[in-house]
Amino acid sequence: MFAIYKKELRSYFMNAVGYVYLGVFLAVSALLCCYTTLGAGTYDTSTYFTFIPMIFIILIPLLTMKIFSEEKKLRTEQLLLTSPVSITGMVLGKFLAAFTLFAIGLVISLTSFIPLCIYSGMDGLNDAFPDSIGPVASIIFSNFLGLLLLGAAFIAVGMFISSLTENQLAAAVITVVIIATMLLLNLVNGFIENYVVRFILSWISFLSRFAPFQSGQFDPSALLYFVSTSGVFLFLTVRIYDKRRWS
Amino acid sequence: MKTSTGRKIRYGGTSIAIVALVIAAVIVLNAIVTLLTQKFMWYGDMTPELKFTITDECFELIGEETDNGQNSAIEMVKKFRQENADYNKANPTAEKKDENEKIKIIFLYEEDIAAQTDGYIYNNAKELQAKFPDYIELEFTDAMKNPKRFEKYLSSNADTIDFNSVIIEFGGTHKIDIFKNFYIFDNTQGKPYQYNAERRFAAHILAVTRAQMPLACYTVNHRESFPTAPGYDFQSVTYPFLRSLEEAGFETRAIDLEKEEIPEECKLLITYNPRSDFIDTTFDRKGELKKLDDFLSAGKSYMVFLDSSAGELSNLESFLDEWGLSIRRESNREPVVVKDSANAVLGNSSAIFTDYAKNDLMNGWAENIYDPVIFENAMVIEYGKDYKELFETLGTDSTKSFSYGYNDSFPPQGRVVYPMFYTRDTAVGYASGEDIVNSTATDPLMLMAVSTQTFYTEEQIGNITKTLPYSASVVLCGTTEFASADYIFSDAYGNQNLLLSISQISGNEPIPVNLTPKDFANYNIESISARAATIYTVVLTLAPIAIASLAGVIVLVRRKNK
Repeated sequence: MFAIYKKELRSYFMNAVGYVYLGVFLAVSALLCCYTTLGAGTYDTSTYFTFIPMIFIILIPLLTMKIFSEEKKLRTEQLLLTSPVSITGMVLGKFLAAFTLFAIGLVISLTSFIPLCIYSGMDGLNDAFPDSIGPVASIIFSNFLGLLLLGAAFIAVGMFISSLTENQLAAAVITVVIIATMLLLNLVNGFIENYVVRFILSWISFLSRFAPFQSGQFDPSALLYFVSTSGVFLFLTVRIYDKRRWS
Repeated sequence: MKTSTGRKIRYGGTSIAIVALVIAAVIVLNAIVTLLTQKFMWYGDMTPELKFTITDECFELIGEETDNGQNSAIEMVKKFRQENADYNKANPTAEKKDENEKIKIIFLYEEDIAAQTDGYIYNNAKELQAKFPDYIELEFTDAMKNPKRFEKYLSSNADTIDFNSVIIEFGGTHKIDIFKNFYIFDNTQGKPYQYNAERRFAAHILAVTRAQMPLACYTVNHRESFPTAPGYDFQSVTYPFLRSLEEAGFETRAIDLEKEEIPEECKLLITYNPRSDFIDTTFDRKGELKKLDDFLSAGKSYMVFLDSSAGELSNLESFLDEWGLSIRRESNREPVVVKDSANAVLGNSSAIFTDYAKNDLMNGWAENIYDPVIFENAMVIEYGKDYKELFETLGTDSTKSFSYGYNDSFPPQGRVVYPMFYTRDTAVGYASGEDIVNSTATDPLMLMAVSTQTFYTEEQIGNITKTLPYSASVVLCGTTEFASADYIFSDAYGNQNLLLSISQISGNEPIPVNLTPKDFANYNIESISARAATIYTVVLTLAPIAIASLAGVIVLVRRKNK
């Protein structure tokens, strides 16, 4: 598994994908952060963290579209299937590589908060503004954790879709559609009268599961939801390849 | 065989079954954890203000006996249940009373919408339920789909109910509040700066369980008809009035204003049908009027019901005059009383139908007073002398509120008089047997009015000194028969609803509760300039693109050259 992981991670930086992903993500997140905080004159990061998941809808499929589709297209899939590494190990290795790149981007994006910390220090030293709070570490941590979990679930979904088709574009588009649907499912609740239907949609929706992290509330059931969603899609990916190996 | 079994598991029907089983197990596990998390509130509160968390002080206030021996809300619930159980045992054939009644917190949305509309209030209510699961329950009912469910609250309480209301109910008593009241707003910017939910929840729970009730005092040393000892005199003319106050959730107490001080916990003072004047011993006001001054300066409320047969009470009326309210009297000091043959109750031209005034105060209340309000033998009220002179000078529309002694200082000072009820245009005011004044559509005769004054106090919120408003109010009604049994206990008239409504004038909270609201953090960046923000934005946006591009180019060039 570790060999697959290293190989995948290296491949992100051996071609344009990794750089494009990081460059675009960091630029967009920095722009969003500055616009919603510095530009608005507030330390409140809630608007920033509300919009960041929307960026993932486009960017994460870029990461995941080639994971299995490329292998299929280049016919290197057989090598993987006949290698001594288990299917589970292979899938996990690829998942962890994509997740590592995603996490690297997310960690580097925290540098966007440096100006907030600088101004927080300046406000704190100024006696005229003694109760200015600055960026709240607990809220940022809560959102960061939520984004990591959300990203993991998105990557797992993307990998599953990628394993179904050899066409990278198709994989990307389908992943975008599915992620967007699962993220924004509860937005239709405003049009639904039936409480049970609304409850189910909210239960499935990634956005409603992410909402507690956004508002600074740690929700163990949301944590389990994201972990289990990631697990289910990885499991399904393993089943797909298991079937291919043995059919 | 083995291979066949392996293939079945790997990609046969068994494989599909295994996948379905795994997914089902994951769903069940998630459902169990979600239910347990919601039931036991396993959430972590990471907000700096701890907005999602109910403090231990609040739980103690609701759940434990106080230092002065006062029952907690939970103790009162237990007592109530025991009383019901005893009643059921003693009356086996009668309709059973609920031996397990709980305090209900009712939202007018379904649960998911309530959670979305205000997550803080929703979570606090859930915490209360999780802490006292045997005594507190939550109800989420869509008021749009089930309007009948809430009819009883509208008919017995003149407060407004809308979707953003929360109803706290126990044992037939309820309090209605709105989400907005769970926050304290900065008057200058209209933004919330404190979160007040646990204080309001605690106050309402203590009120509905009668663990603590707001205190209303009524004066008894001017030959009023109130009983001076506890208990009802059911034959007394004041019985409907006292009963209405208690239904409004007040504890009532007699007070000899000459001999006693007004208790600090008293929120509402009433003078009903005084037959002798108030004492004002010296020019600089000592005595009863001084006590009234001090009481009102603390932001309390005072209601006066006068009867035309009592004669002029010059000290009391001069006090009311300072608040912009006076009884209209002729030169011989006879009050002007109204009659209206065209709009009278059962041919009694002295018992008349009235119209409410069109102003901010009455527009809010009048929505929930569906039945006509009757005034009998009512004296005409007018603006106080100085108020009237200012009013006439400015020629302001008499139907709206008017500021008395208003000035341009900040914060603004002054008393504002709101007319409450007027006669209709067929009414006539008479005195000494002669018709004195006719009511017209443009100039009706006023029968009830309220004068309010806003005071300001400074409070330290962290290191910031904030100016906070609080209000005092004086209500003058020109008849005592407004609160007579004929009108208060009749479903045909709105007198009781109005009385309940104006008794709630006394402050925003039903009872004072010693819990500190939670300050919202100040998220403003004070030191930043627009130019600096732009520079940071440009640098932080372009830098990753530049660095990633450079790194990518370097790596790709090196690969090519290898």
